[in-house]
Amino acid sequence: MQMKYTAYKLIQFCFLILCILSLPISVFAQVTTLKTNVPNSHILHIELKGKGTVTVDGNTYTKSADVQINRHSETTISVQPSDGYSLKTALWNGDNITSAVRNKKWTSPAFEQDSVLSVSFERVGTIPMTGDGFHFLQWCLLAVCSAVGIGICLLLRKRKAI
Amino acid sequence: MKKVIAFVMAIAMVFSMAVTVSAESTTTITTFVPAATYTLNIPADQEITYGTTSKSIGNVTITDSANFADGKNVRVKIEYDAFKSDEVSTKIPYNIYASATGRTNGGSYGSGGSTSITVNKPSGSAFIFEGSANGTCSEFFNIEKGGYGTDTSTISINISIASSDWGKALGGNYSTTLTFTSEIYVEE
Repeated sequence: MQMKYTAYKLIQFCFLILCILSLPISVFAQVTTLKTNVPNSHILHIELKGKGTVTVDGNTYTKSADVQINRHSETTISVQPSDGYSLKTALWNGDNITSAVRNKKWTSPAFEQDSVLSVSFERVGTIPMTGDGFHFLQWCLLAVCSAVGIGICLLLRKRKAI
Repeated sequence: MKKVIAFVMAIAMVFSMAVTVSAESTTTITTFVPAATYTLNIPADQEITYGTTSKSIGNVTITDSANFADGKNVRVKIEYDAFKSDEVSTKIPYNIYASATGRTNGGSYGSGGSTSITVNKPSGSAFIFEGSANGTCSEFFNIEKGGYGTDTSTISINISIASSDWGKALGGNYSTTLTFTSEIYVEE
């Protein structure tokens, strides 16, 4: 008797499902999925000009290099000119940060993207000159040679006259 | 006998009287309204490059439409939420907007120029595709009521993400879904 009752209930349920499924459906839904990846680290591209070094995370670089930095970390960068040189300019993603370099150190903002640090060193005491970069000693030597040459010419002239 | 004959003659007289009552005639006209049908096309699944602040992701269009009429339109509702990750707790919010090139009125000086149309589409807003008397539904949604027309080839759905929101997000893989729900409705 109980089995008959259960079967009866099952048939009723199936019939109900069938009725629901047969109802006309006029609403349709479709989905577009967008994905993205946020990196865990970024590349710091160091551009070095002149004589000096750049130290990042304990690693010292004497020429241009790419360094991997953890995302959202702030990094202290040391800028050390070689003897006879000084820091000329420091650019961070094109922005001039030279005046922000204190005691040859500068702390970057939290890394959120690949970045470029451009450091340029110049010789100390260099007088800017237009034209060629001929050195002072060489100019003196040239002047001495010219004077000697002129002296020889005058002497020869004198001898001819005699 | 005479009474019988008189009765029969009276009955015969009654039945011989002309009857002039006329009955009503009806004509029944029937018709069948078929269900409107269409195909909804939505932007494909795709990858958004880190740092992108604005990008076209495709378009929403209706094709293969039939059995529509003036005022019988398709409404496509868009629903979405921020990018989320299973790996980290940060979310990346974004906005969806529709864009197109519209035409401007040249007035009495000749043909008009073009103008840029941008319409914000927050979650829960809808795109309306209008039915027409020829039985079809417009392939492109109506981006701008009024105006002097739109270059439908330039209609686009776009995503915009603020750079600062990219910056706040922790490293990881994120995803989001845009749900497009369409239904036929009749303008009142």
